[in-house]
Amino acid sequence: MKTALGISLAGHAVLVVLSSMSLLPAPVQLEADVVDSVDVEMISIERFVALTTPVPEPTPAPQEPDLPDLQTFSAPASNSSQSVTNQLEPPAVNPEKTRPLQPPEPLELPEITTSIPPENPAIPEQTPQFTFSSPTVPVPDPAERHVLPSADALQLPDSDRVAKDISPKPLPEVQIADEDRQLASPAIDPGAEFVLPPERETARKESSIAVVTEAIRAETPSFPGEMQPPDIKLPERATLVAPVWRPSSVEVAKAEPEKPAPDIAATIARLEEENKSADLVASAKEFSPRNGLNSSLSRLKRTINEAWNVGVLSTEAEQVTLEVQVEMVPQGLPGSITLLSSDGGSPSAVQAAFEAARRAVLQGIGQGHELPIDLYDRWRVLIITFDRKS
Amino acid sequence: MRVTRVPKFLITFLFTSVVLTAGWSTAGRAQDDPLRLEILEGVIAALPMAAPTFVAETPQSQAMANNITSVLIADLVGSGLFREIPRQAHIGRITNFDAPVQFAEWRAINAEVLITGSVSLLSGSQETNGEIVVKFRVYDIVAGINLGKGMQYRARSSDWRRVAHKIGDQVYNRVTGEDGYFDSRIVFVSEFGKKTERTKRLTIMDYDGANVQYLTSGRDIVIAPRFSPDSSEIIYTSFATGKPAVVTMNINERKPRVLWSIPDMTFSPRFSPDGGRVLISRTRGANTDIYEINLATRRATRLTTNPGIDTAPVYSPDGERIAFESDRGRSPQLYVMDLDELKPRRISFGGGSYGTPVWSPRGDYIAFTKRLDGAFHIGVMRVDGSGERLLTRSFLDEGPTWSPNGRVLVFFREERGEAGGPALYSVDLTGRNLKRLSTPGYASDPNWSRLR
Repeated sequence: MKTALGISLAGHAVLVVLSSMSLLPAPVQLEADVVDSVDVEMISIERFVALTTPVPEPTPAPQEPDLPDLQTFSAPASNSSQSVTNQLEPPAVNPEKTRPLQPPEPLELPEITTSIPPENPAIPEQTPQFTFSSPTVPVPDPAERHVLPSADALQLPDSDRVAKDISPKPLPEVQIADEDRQLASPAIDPGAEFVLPPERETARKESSIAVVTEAIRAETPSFPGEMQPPDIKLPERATLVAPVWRPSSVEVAKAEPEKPAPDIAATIARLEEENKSADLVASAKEFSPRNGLNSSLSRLKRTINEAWNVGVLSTEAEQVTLEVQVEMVPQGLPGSITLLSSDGGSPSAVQAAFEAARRAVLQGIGQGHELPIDLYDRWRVLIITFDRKS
Repeated sequence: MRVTRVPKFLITFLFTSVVLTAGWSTAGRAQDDPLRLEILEGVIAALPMAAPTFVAETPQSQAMANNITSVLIADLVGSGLFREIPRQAHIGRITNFDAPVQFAEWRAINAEVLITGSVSLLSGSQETNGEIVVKFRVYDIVAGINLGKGMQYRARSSDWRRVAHKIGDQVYNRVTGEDGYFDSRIVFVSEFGKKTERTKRLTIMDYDGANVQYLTSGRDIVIAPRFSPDSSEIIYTSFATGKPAVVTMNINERKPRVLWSIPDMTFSPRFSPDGGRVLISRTRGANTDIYEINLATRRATRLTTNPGIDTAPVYSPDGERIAFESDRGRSPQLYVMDLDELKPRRISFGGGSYGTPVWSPRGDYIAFTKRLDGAFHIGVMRVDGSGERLLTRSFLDEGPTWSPNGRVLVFFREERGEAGGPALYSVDLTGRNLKRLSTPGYASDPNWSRLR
């Protein structure tokens, strides 16, 4: 027993001494723990081939490729100016003589406004030093008010192109259907006692706003006949924005605000007095001024939404949530549009998002929107939240 | 004990009063608050844009004004975000760059953005590469205001395309809120000849296919070229030595140099965002691992040690992580790894196999090639693997590369059959605006530079 213990102690002592003197091989580690580093040398291809070619015979090493002369190809046809483009192409030059392109550098021009008379030189003769930095896009100050011209100022100036007469009332909207159907003008029969409501014209849906990628379209099973995958053609802007202009809004604006729809109120009272059925009372109440405001606001919301083009926004700007205050004038036009707050995005993204929202408001209701004038105090200020994240 | 009874009518009166008072005050507050609307959807449409021909301020600059305007319109319309209103429809005429814009004339044709500009030849002529000055302004027609300030570029006549691209980038930035991608270049591999004996040449061109230049003769096979961050160098895989080796080349000097003088196969190189390091794949025996080479110290560090094939590495935009492709889980999948921890984390869990990850310049997405059910797709997913979207589908789509702003992907698509050859395509991050790029021949392995 003592002998074994002694041998063990002696053996361990020898191991400790050897280990301290680094005479033992390093412990083998799992490969997963190995992160080795080696020196790297950068050499030419010829030398690399000479080093790595195992054949002892003196074979001609591949020469460094003789680079061709710099070939300059004429630009692809850019619209209709192909012939001119070819004339403008610089002659082919030798690569050694090719100087790196000196990038053009932007210069800031003084901001132009429509108030500047034409003869006012907007660009100074002495231009400052070139800078490559992009001009700083001013960040919209939440307190800054983007005051728009008044309703009168929005009208076109007098010119020969402006018609003297008021445009006729726009045709009724067509109904979206699977096929186009144009109705013939109904013949007027003066002797007829009953006039049936005219059948609505129909038209096919013009385009889709759904994002259909090539991958999705390919995976969509094709069906014979009319069930074809949707087209990814971008819709025409004009088909998306239907300007809401109703001449009757002017008449509403002239109405007396102190007498909110007296006929409707009288109808309700009469119905209640006559103890009519609850359904009739409810149907009459749907035309109350407040319900009229709700339906007008729903239309207004839909119109602004259809004019809110998020397709041109960056993915960052698209994720910005905006709270915009719109002060309305009694004619149903936006008087001023102010950015109240924003959430997310860089300053440039916020700026772009606000400009898109402003365009949506101006295009959606810039030509006037029918709102009950007797409730003007209620809709004089609108706060609109633009939020794609939701 | 005597309990005083409160008259029932008094309780009713008090209760009614409280309810009415509360309702009145609530109604009053509601009446005072402004009406709130929520717009949550919006539409996706190309922005109608009017870009009348830039004004030629000197007699010799008319042709250049036409060309610059044409390239500018091609850039903006080609992005899919803008739609040009034909000049025949214009009511207003821009004959003087400094004249006030009549917004009503442009509103009448439903233009939402107007671009005006002028071109003047300061010295010499176009033939003598004289100096030009190009000015431009951008207007928001709907709001009746300027979008940003007017600017001018001064350049040599030969750089007129770059001037047009730079103006396009400015317009793009002012409307979308992000940088453009027009003043950039693409390096790729041009392929000529039959499918079985293709000549492959390293090629560089403007993003729109103009100014094509060949960097190699075509005698040796080259694949997978990548720009350095400053776009002055190209790193690629060359078979000049008979087997794949990573080679770097300065675009101006055009002297190729082997990055690492070892007999092993090295390939799939990629510069770090700061340009100081290079990721490559190295094959020793049956094992392929990823190495990082510090270009300053000339030291190579092994980053992966798995017995499988780890390849196609790419840095994150901050240079602190890498993404790569590995078959350690049997089928090729995508992995992300912090460089300070070196613990790979798988991020692709959909069906099929994944490869060629490419990190978005903004860092939010990773583009990839996916093979599923016999078809190839270009797709994107978030860095954590969520939100996978497939953008394309074809017989063979491969090798995506991001535009400088992370909005567009360029990849190459090969047609089926003996006569088919690869071609470059671009697609928007949303899967829209798929189109083929103009190249002199077949083209593969694209890599997009940063903005110049």
